[in-house]
Amino acid sequence: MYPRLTLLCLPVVLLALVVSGVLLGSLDLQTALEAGPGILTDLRLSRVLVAVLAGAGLGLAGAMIQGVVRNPLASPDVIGVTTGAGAAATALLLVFPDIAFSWMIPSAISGALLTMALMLWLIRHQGLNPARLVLTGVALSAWLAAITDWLLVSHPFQVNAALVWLTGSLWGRGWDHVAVLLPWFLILVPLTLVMALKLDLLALGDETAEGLGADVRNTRKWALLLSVALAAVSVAVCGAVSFVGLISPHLARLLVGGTHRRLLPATAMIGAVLVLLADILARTLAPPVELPAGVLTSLIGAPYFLFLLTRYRGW
Amino acid sequence: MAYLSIENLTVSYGEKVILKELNLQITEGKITALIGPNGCGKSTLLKTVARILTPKQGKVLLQGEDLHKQDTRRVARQLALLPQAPVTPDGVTIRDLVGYGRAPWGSRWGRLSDDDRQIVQQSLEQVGLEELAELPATDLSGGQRQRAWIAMILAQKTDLVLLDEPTTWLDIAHQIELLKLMRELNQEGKTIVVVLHDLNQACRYCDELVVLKQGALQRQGSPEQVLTQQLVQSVFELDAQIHPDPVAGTPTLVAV
Amino acid sequence: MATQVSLSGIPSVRQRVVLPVCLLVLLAAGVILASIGASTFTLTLSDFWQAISGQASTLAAQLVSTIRLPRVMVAAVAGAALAMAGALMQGITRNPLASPALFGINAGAACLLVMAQSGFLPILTSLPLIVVTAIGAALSGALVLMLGGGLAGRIHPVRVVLAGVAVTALLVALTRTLLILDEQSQSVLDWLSGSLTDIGWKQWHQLWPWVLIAAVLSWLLAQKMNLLALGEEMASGLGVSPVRLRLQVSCLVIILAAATVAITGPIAFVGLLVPHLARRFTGADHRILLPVCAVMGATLMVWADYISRLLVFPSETPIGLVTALIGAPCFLWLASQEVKH
Repeated sequence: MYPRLTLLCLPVVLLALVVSGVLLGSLDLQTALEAGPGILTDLRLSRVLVAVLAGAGLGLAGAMIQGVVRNPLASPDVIGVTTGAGAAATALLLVFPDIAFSWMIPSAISGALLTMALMLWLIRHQGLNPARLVLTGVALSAWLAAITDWLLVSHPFQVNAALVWLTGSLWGRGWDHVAVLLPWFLILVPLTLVMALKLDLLALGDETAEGLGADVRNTRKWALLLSVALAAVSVAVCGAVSFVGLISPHLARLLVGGTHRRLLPATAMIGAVLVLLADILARTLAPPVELPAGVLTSLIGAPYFLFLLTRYRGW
Repeated sequence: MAYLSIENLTVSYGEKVILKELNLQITEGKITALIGPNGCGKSTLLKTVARILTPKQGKVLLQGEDLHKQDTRRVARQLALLPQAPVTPDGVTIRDLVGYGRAPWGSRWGRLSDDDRQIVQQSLEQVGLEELAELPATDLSGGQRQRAWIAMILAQKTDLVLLDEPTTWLDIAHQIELLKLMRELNQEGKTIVVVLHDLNQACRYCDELVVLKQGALQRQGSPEQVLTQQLVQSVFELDAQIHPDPVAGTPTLVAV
Repeated sequence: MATQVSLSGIPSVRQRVVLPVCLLVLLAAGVILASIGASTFTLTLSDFWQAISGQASTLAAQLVSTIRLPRVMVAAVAGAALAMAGALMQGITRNPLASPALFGINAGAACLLVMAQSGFLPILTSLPLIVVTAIGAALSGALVLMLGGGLAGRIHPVRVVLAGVAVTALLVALTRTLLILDEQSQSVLDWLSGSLTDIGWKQWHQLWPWVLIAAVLSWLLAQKMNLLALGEEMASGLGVSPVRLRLQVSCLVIILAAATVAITGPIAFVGLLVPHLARRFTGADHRILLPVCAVMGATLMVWADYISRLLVFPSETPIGLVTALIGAPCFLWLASQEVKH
């Protein structure tokens, strides 16, 4: 394992994908160029950037949650946070169909925070037992998903836009979205990286962490808040692209080890790579039909979750 | 002024009072063993000193300063704790793990300076793990893992070290190895407070015994003063004889 | 960890009489309400009587007899089938969370059905629907149990559920992909959560024989399941082969789930909740439990159907959403109850 080398290679892979994301598409390059620079920069480049940001956000959120609850099965989607963000954003979208996109983010964040609060209340007697946490999360997501679906059904005229968005798709994302997303990321991502050492200490158990001078309760609170916010921001722009938050930290841990100082940046990049890859495949697999990127990440992510499950020994 | 002074300490879990108005002084430079029957509050006392638990009433003073009123990083530079069941994280090498001992001193980002690295290396050498340093911590055996944790505490460079039942889960050879290591640390000037279950080991390897029963101090003093037939009878409700240890001459308990 | 179904709560004689009467009254009220309520037409009780006595003379009565009645009856039978399937699964796995939806069986059946209908696998297209869904149900059920650790009660109950959730996520993603590629994305929502739109007498005739057969057979196995509840060794000692019984019951579960999914699509939570609810009233004797589950499941679904049309009247909510909206909080409660043991 060469953590530093890997950490240097990841940006290269990401860059290569960004370039191919811009070049590949239903129009071949020649035609696209002749049609003017608009297709490449306005349509594809912006969309690729949204994918990178959202993927990085989901990956980081997953790494933080796994660090806080010391649970390899946890991730924002498994514990219901993304569904909560989705439900709140859908509600906003359906009640005010013409609302500016920038409002989606605060609404998604508040939905996610509410879900998290509900979740913490539900497990207040159980501590953070990994399996229970996931079970409760599953039930909570099922309920929130039902609410979201019901919202959609009860507003049949706005369904199409919301449906595309919900399944996790990057269709029609552009510079407007990048502009709204970027400030959030510029605030949240550095805050996340600052937590790296504290998360390392937290991984040693509450008592050891406290013994080494980490404030366990505060660390936990802030890390959860940040992770919920990152997940919500990502969901607000590309919908529930499932399983990215779950698998990116695991892949990153395999590549660069468990020290968060390296793990967090690596997770962000792997998350970006995954979402970008899923989006490129979604656009190019069966043109002109476009698959939701979320479906593709599920197809990869669910088997990986099953693999983790068969290896997990903490019952 | 005592080095570590516990004044009028009351600790409870919810309604249940574990320690009641406890007063205790720990001497600098000695190994003090906390002993007593299960549920007597010895682990609770250790955790309160390590500010994992907050007292309901009373204070813990380290060199005259209240531990529970200080910044937690500052406390971590003065005392180190090895809990009973620390969690070994995935994908972290032993060197990384020991490096975490520098957390209270180093940058908040976790990057180690050259001095830090040197301290980590010394700590690894002291516990004899320098050759395994690049292995994942999860690959270690029980005895090695416990030594890795000790190395982490060494890297923390504190004067006071708290060990909560460090010999649990170890076989007898590794238990003795660990207790000897504890003696070495003490000879380098560290004050050690340790919770032990085995009274004979406590007498053999510690300078002072503190006996607790139902959250109250029963006796404190050297093993010879403390470990008597009457005490074993009254605290553990066990009939026993006390004989000198054939090797070290310290008191040894033999059940009747 | 409580993997065993609670055997406490032996019902008194009075409960035995009162409960079925109450249930039947509720069922009847539900059937009537769902048949004539929540309609843009003004339907009356007399239309309902005309419809069920087979003399639908008015337009309204014809509407009830050709559109509403088959729909309500399919809902009732589907509810009974799912509830019985859940009770059977909980009986043989001794896992209180066992149910067709959580163990991925519904999703497997639905996925293969979509494969068959979209012509993705030509072999499937030529087979009868119920065979296709049964294959899907069996495959995904087996996969979940395997990943969850095996058929017997030794496995960790939560682990199986998580395996079920992941397999479901995978199958739903596959189904979605197929529907989108087949350019049926309009019906995605209806399809994946279970719906009773476009149900007529044809579907009713496809559904009831299977459910009836499976119900009778499972009732014949009820006493053996009671013995299995005493533990495998005890059951073997009393002359019941646990392996054979589990196989037989699994087949029945697959028939029940497959028949239902083929007609209504996957409907969640009925199979999970009804057996728990029923057990509170009847105790764990499967001879009583199974029929009570059937009636309760039917009642729940009929009412859910009524609510599904009332909720956003005049448009219609897929019934699977209604059961999920009611069911998920109950599931949370169940999961937290299980922790306390």
